[in-house]
Amino acid sequence: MIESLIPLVPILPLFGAMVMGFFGKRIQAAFGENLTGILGCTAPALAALIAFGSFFELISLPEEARVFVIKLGQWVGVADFQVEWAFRYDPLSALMLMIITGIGTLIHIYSMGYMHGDKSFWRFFSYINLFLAAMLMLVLGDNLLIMFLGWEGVGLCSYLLIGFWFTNSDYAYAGRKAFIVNRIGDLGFLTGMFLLIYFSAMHYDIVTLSYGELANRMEVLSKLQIWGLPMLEVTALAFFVGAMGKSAQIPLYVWLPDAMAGPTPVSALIHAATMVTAGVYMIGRMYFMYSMAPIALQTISFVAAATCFLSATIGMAQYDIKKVLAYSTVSQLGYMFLAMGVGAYSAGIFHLLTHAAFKAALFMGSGAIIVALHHEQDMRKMGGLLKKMPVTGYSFIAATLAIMGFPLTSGFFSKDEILEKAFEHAPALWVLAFTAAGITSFYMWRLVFMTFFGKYRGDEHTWDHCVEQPKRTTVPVAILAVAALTLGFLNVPDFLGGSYSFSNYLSPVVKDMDGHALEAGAVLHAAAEHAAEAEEHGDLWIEWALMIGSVLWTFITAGLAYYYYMKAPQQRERLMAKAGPKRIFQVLHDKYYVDEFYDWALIRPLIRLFRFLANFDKYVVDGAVNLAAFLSKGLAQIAGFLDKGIVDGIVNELAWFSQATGKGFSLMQSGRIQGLVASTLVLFTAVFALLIFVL
Amino acid sequence: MSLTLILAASTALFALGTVMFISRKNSIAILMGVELLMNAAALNFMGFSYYSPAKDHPLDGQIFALFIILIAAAEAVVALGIAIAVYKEYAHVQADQLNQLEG
Amino acid sequence: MSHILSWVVFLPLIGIPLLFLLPKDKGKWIALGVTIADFLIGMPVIMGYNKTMVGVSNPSEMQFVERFSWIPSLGVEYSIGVDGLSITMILLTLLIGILGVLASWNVSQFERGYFSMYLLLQTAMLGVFVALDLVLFFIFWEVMLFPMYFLIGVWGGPRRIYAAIKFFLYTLFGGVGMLLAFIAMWYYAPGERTWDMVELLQRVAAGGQFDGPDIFGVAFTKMVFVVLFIGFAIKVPIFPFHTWLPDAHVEAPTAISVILAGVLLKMGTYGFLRINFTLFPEAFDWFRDFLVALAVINIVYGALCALAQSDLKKMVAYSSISHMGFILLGIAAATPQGINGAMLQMFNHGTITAMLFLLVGVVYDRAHHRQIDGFGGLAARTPVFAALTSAAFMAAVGLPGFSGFISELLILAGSFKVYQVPTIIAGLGIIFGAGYMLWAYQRVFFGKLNEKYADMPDVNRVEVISLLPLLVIVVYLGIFPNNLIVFFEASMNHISELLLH
Repeated sequence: MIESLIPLVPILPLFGAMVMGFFGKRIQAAFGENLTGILGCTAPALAALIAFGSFFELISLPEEARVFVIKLGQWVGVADFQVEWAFRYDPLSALMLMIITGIGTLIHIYSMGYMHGDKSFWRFFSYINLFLAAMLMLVLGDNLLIMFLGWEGVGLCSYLLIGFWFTNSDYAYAGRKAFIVNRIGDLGFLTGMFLLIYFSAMHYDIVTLSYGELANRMEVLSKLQIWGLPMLEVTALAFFVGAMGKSAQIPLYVWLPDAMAGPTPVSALIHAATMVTAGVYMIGRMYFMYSMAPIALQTISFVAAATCFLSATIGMAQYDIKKVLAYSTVSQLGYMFLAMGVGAYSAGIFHLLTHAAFKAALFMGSGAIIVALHHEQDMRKMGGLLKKMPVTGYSFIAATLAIMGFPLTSGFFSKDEILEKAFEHAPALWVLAFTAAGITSFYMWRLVFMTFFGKYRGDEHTWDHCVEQPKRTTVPVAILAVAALTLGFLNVPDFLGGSYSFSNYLSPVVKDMDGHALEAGAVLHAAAEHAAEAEEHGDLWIEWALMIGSVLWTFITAGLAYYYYMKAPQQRERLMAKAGPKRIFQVLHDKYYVDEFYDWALIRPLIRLFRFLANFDKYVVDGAVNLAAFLSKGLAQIAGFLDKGIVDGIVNELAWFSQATGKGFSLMQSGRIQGLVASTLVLFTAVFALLIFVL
Repeated sequence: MSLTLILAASTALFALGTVMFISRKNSIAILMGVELLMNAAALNFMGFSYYSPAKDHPLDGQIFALFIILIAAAEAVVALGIAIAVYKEYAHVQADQLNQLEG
Repeated sequence: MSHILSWVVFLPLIGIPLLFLLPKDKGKWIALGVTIADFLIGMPVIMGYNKTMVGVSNPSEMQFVERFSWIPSLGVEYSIGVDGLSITMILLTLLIGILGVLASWNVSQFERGYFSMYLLLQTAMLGVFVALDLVLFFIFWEVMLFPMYFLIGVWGGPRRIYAAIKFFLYTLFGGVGMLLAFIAMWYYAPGERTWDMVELLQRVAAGGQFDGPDIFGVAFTKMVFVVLFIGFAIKVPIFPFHTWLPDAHVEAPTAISVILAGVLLKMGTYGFLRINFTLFPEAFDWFRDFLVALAVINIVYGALCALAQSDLKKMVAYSSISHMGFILLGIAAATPQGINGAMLQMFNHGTITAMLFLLVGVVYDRAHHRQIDGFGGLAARTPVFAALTSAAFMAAVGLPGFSGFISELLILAGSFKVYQVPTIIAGLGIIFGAGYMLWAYQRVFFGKLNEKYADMPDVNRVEVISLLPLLVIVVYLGIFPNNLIVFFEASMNHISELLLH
């Protein structure tokens, strides 16, 4: 069943996208929004059905049998370079499929409410179906090339969807920025791929990009060097550059906050739950490589921790509700990469799952608010909305509890594990991540208090018209909120009486690809040993202490948010009036001026460069051509002059001479016949006289 | 009659023709001069033939004379035709004014 | 029909008298009929082509060969035939030929003159790709100039005379050098003198040498190589011989831009593969690094110049320069992936750029200008056009799923094996490519609708008919590229072996 059904999972949304793209306009015109929306939801819903069904089939199988490679045919084949259309269905991709199709379907339903009244309803569904198809390709592909296909495909859809309301050129600009920043990352991805091809071509008969084969070749790769550096590390880092772009890590994170220009369902689906986690998925997929690349992992963990911390601080000072959530997403992605970097593979993927649930709920909740307030996104003009929108409000608060890591919610389990692993790995990382966890709690509660509590600060009219959204909008939010609260129980750590069931579920992915990757990877090895040792010595108190510490810390910051934004706003104003905090706030609000820095350091020089080159081309290169043409023309004129004056002159002189002689003789030609005859007579007489008398 | 006498008559005829050819302005008259020249030549042929010592071809000169008469007739036709054409073009046939061939 | 290849080549020529015999206003229909008939006659050649035969340096493995003595005193022959290298280009030429007629649907001035030039051009292009005799090759090469000169010079834009003369002189300049090189190659041919390029290649592959004297102190082969390279590089065009291209494109009518970018440029890279590099493998080795440098310059420089353009057509022209750089990179790398990718890119660039120029033509037909900043918000007004353009732009950017991605991937993967750092720099070209394409797209289609174009009509049926087949091909080859690769893989792998010894 799995083998025949799984290829349908990406194909269904692709088909849906085509139907919507080609006939959507007519369907919408003829049958209205509802039917268009339902049609648009069909493909993702069917895909979700298959994904969940296959999952249950998968877990019913013994652990060793949980990998399916479904080959559909050849894609590219040149000499030793062979790439197939092939899908890989294993626990990791099964999980991703469920996240994508599940949340995807919910968001499709939600969009029917959110996009209500938009005349390009059909276009939206076409794009978002296409996005699902690309994202599913990305996770299902059995080789890097298919992953890259999906990788670029989601980028394209993200571009199209960010600029969905293209009549606003700022939005279109944000779309372009996202696409180009992602392209920079893609160069990293491509370079990584080329390195793998290069390496395979040098040492094997067949170049392959499929994960299973690559995993077996890592042993050899790890012993090679390129540019004087270990090749494996370089490759791993190159791929990480790709992940930086897609998953918004420092320094390529700048596109994500701007991407919030897109419709909110897009932000929820693409820029929170699925696409931005593609980088994490990729590292998870390539873990057989990363587990052998300690330097790369180290780099990842530090970049991730820095991203996590810095973007959280920026999130504290934003007023746009979606911007807060965007920086929060960047920060949470940092957690996932941190997990990957410190070897907490399953914790990272687990956080991906829980984050998908609670962040999608948060975005969808914020979307409901935005629609209710007539596209108002500034939190300074919100407040007290809980009364008006109870379902959205309580769902939002539930998701907030999850993201802050309230005990027993999903975020609590996933984040806690990451923090613990980070602490074992390097306390410096833990400090950053731990601080960020507190800040997360602060800015999230700040958001909640500013929107749902206190007094409404916008205008009367909007307030009067503000109502709870229809069911198609609120039910998906509520479902996700429930998931955000409960998903954590999938992976209860053993010291809390659980059995790490999620980790166990995922563990075959890493092991199966390369039986000894875990042992060979120095980092993981050390970490695993360390953990085992800790348990042997009964050092459980560290885990308990870390857990309690972080719970307390998030409570404290949540309390601060309560104090400054709820209980005593005047205290906040007094604090903000002081120069120091004010300046700090301003710097945070302006995002450390990173955009400005990029503009100054990269974009402007680039613009100068291409302007210069265009002029260079026009005036120097083409100038040289025109100069050559001009010179030959000049030369031709000189030659022309010489020709006329001298060469032709001689000819003309000769002609003049003969003409003059001719003229002289022509005088004799009177044209009178009698004259001619007379002269002939005279001549004859003379000749005869001469003949007779002289000779 | 002797050959000398015939030659003298022929020479006189030739001289008259030449003078007429050179001095007259009317093309028709010039043409008449040409006829005189031709007749002088014919007279010469016949005289020489008559007094020739070689007797195996006794009529050669006469035949030439006949030819000359024929040619003279033909020539007169062509020349008169030209004269008519010239007259049509210039309304005269004065030879001294027909100097189109002047170089 | 044993002379089927000659029929394919000369059928357009037969169409010319037809143009003047049949009613005056039927010119485009006749041209369309002739090009379609040519395509149909070409189908047996393409279907009957034996994909396993290598060709290139094996005279016995060339297919559809026709050979007659032509100028016996010099040993010149009329000899034509195809191998994997030619067959792909013939397919492309036949295809673009039809679409070019569709793109000329609006030509009203001297219609019959236009289409007779057009058909002559078609014959010349096909001839270049099948000629196996150097003299024949050269004749077709030069014959192509003549209709091109008139097509740009008579039916072009405001600066058409300048552009036409520039194009003509530039190519002629390269052509003269090429002729000299051909004569030198004939005179100093290894073994018996011959103009047959396959024969020559066979001898070179067997270790033969052109043993001419040094010229200005430079080894004979190197000198001939450089002269030939300049001749072909002008056509490609390779920096710094590229400046005729933007001018020619900007001034040429749409269909001629399509032909120019779609097929004519490929004649240069075809020449690289067929004559220039393969016949002088040692000189190629010598200049290889330099060639890679030129290729990378082409890619990055072309892309950066494209970023700065304000004229849409000029931007596409520079993007063409950038993409042609990839082909040189693939050939210079000479690995199987590189060369196969280059060949695939020759086809893909033909289809994708043809699409881009057709789209620019659509805009120009309606607005009578091509200033990128002169539009805005057209997506709202012309959704089908916007969708087609976005697909074409994405294909040009090299998005996976479109054919351009596969060829660029193969080229980069192939060249990475030999030249790592230049390949990564060339990868930058891809980023800039996304930059100029999206920037232009956004300025034309996004933002507020420019009131001037508030009632601009969407694409019409003829335009859709000319665009859709290309889009289908581009997507199809993005998903099943091997259906095309099989045609030339054997030949290309062989060329790769020849170049790498």
